[in-house]
Amino acid sequence: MEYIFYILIMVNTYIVLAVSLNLLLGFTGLISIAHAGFMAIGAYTTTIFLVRYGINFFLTIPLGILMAVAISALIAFPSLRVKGEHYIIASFGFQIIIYSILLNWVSLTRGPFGFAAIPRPTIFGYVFSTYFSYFIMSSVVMLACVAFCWHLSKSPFGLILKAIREDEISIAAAGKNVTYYKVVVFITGCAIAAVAGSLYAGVISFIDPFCFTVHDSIFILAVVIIGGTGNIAGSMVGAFVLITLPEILKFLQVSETVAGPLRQMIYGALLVLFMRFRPQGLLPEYKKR
Amino acid sequence: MLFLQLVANGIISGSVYALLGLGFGIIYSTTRTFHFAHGAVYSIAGYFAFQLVFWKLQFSVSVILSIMLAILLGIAIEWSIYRPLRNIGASAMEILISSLGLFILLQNSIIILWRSDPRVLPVAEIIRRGVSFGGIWLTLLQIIIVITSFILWIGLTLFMKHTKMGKAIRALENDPEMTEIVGIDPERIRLAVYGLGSALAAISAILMTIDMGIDPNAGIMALLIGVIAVIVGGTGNYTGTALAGLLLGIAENIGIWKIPSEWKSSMAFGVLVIFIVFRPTGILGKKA
Repeated sequence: MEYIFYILIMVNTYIVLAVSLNLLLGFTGLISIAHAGFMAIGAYTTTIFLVRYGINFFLTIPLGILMAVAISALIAFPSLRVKGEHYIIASFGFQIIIYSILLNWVSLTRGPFGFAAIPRPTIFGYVFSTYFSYFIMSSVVMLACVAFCWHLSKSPFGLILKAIREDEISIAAAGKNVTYYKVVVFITGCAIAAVAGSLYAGVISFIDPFCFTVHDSIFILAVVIIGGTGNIAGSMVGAFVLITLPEILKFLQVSETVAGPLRQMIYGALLVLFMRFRPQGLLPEYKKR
Repeated sequence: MLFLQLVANGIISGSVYALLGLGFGIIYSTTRTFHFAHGAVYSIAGYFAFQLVFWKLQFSVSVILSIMLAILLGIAIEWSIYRPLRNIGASAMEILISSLGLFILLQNSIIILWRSDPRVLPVAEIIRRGVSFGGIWLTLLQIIIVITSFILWIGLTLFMKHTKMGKAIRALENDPEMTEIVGIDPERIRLAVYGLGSALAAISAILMTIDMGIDPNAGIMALLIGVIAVIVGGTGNYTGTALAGLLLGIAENIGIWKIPSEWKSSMAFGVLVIFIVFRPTGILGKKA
């Protein structure tokens, strides 16, 4: 039973990641392969403040957000000027740079050793020690993030994002500062990814740089695409399906060395098949008329 | 003396980088498809060559077979995945994502087949022996790598300039519609380009597998080095791409002198990001 709640906590974490990436990918048309990097920023900020300075978990979440905002702002201004494929490559570059900083700045991040025994979050003396209580807590955080993204996507701001995705030049001609909108949505998306990172660090209680590789970024991308780009509910469904589906492998008694790559192969194959046969994803942005 | 040795090492790795850039560049500039799966073609060629030699096949036969496998794989990817996507009017981004998915799929099948340990292609010990040239140590193998890369670069340049196929490839790169109007079948050219690019990837993979060995992550690094060379050198500019690859290798090796080697990939991507932001057309490319 506890194991099921563990899976559901992971689903919650990935819903937060997918919904925030959907803001960039689905609504604004920015394909970013750096989302696991921003998740890592949240996870490491939480862990370092929690383990080294004993700051309460729930106070480290805003610290993680601040850190992600600072770093993504630094990245956003130059990189969002570039277009299309070049932007994807740039985001790929950032992913690799963040990863290698985590791996090599040993005095801050303990490099490849990572942090073990991250304490469970506490609030007013209550410890979220069971997976069930953590699940409830993470669901509240997840719902807050989803509500925020949903509200943002329906707001005038969100409509301008969609307009940028459809036709950047005419929206610029209509007097909107396209770069400003892109920068704001980029920072927002990365900040929410940091929240997911904090949630992740709190439950997994062990993090190292290998939790946040390019492959994880691509997995988050797969969740958004398979769920349906531009559809918040789609990202939730996508996260649920892609996290729970590979658990079937556990029942098939596949050995762990094969199960890992096999899981990745499934994501890869799904990406290829969805692009070919259902590019709009499980839940499309617009219903067919 | 140390400086000269580092430059020499840089030229050796740079010449392979140049090949990686040419392989990716010919595909990217001609078909405008961001062929992520190219990285997987690279790894598969390296591992396949290793496996054949391991099965006691003759070295030259193994090399030829693995280059052929890479060519077939490249062509099969274009024919079975990219072409149908283009025919249903998929956007460049959709094709890119499906290429990314394909990359993940192939990469992880390599991990299942060969596990994650690095493999080195065994060759006669004599070519690994170091020789001193006025204080600079080189192995015969390294000299072979540089010469092979140089010959392929010259060969590719001549091919693109003087053969009918090469001219058709350049035509497709410049203006796909016009190419079709004058009676060249663009689909056939695309297949040829994927074959050619994959062959170059296979050759660089084999050279690297002999020299340093191959591991499942080598594919993505090779792809990204190729991408850097193409962007820094200018898309569609083969001389620029090859020079950029060479410079990247030299810069990386001189960098090790002053900067700890674990920051190597960060530095390379730092350069890439600077180029993408400030000069996306590359050093020798036309101004945007």
